Amino acid sequence: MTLKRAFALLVLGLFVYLGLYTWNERTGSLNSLAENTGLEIVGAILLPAEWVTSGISDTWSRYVDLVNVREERDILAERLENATAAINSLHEDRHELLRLRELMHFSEPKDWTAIGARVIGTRIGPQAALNSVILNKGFSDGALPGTPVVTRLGVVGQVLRSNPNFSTVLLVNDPSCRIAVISQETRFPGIIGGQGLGKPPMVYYVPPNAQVKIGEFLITSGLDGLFPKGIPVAWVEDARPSDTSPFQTVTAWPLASLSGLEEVLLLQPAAGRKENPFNRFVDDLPLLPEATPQSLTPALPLSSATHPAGGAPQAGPSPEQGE
Amino acid sequence: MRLARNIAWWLCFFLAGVYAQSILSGIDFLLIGVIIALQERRPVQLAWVILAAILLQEGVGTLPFGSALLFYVFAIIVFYGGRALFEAENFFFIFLVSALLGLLHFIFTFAIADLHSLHTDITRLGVESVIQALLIPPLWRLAYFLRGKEKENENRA
Repeated sequence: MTLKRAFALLVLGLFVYLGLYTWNERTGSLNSLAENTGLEIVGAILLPAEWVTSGISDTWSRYVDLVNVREERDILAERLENATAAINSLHEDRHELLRLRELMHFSEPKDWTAIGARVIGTRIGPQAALNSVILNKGFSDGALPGTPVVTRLGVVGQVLRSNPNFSTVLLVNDPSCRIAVISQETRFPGIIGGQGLGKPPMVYYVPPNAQVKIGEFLITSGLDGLFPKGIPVAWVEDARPSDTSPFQTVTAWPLASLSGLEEVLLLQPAAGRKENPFNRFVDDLPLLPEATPQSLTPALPLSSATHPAGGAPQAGPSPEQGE
Repeated sequence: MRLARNIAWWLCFFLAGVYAQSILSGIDFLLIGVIIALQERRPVQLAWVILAAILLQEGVGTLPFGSALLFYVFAIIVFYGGRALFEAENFFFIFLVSALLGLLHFIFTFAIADLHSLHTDITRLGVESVIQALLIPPLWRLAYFLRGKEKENENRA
C-alpha cells in the first residue's frame, strides 16, 4: 500500500467516524444499540458470578461464621426496642404535622415507592470513566435514566443508562453528578457534586452569609425535580470563605457507603397512591407501654452509624467511605 | 468442527475478558483478542471480534458512543504501522504497540469525556493507562500461547 493510498484511507475513515459520531449525537441510535446489546450481554455474564459469590458469602456468614451472634442479637434487640420507642414518641408530632398541613392548605408531598436492586458490578472496561455501578434492574423494572438510587443510609446516585434488564448508576462522588441539597438545621441551599475517589464532594453555591454547622446533615431539597425532598445525602465536613468565589467552600462526605455496595433502592413516584408504605409501617408499630425518656436517649441508628458527632464506635465516615 | 472450536475459544475469551474487566476496573482486556485476531489475518473473524468488543465496551461504559470505536481503529493502525517496521515477534514491537495503546486509551477517553462536558479523574485515568500499557505484553503472550495450543489441537483433529 502506497503512502498516498494509506493517507486517503485515513481521511476517509475519519469522515466516516465523524459522520457516525454526529448522527449518533442527533439520534442516540448507537448509544441505544450499545446499551441494548453490550450492557445486556455483560449483565447476563456477571449475574451468575454474582449469584455464586453472594451464595457463598451468605452461606458462610449465616451458617459458619456465627461467632458473637448471640451478643449481636442482644444488642440489636435493645436497639430495636429503643427505635420503636423513639418512633412511638414521634406519633403525636406526626399527627400534629398532618393536621397543621391541612390547616395551612399545604399540598401533600408526593409519595414514592422503593424497588430493591442488586449491584452486580462496578466500573467495567475502559469506557467506564465515570464512578458507577451496574444494577440487575432495567427500564422494564422502572429504572429509567434519572431515577434516584438510595440505601437506608442515604443517597447513592442516579440511573445514568438503562436497558430492559440492567442499568448503570452514576455515583454521588463522581464529578459529573449534581444533586440539589439543603442543610437540615440551618437550611442553606446548595448543589452537591463529587470530586472523585477519596475526596469529599463539594457543595456549590452556598451563600457567604449562611451559618454552616460542621457535622450537620445535608438532605435532598427536591428542587432538581429528580429526587424527593428530605433524603439524607451527606454530612458537612468543612466550610470556609472562598478567596476567589463569592460563595463558601463547603465539603461534605456522603452518608451512604459507596464502596462495597451490594443492595440499593430505586425510588419512583407512586402515581395515584395516597398512602406511603413507610408511613403505614410506622403506624403499624405497637406502642410500648414501658417507653421512658431514658429509653429514648440513644441516638437513631442512622446517626450513630455515620454521623461524626454520633458518639458511636464507628465515629464518622473515613475518607474511604466516599470511594 | 473447527468452526465450533473456534467459536468456543472466542466465547471463553470474551467471558474471561469481561470477568477480568469486572475485577480490574478501567482496563481493556478485550484488546488482546483484537490483537490476536489481527495476527491471524482472517478478515471475517477480525470483523466479528472488533464488533463484539466495541459493543461490549460501549454498552457497559458510561461515556457516549465513540471512544471504543476510535480506539480499536487506531489499534489496527498502530499494529500494522508497527509491523511494517518490526517483526511481529520482536520485543521492541510489542513494547512500542503497548505504550502507544496505553497513550491512546488516555487521549481518547479524555477527549470523548471532555467533548460531552463530563469531568473525569485525570490521575486515575493516567494510572489506568499505564497499567493498560504494562498489562498488554504478558496478556498478549498468554493469549497467544493459549491460542497456539488450541491451534495445535485443531491440527491434530
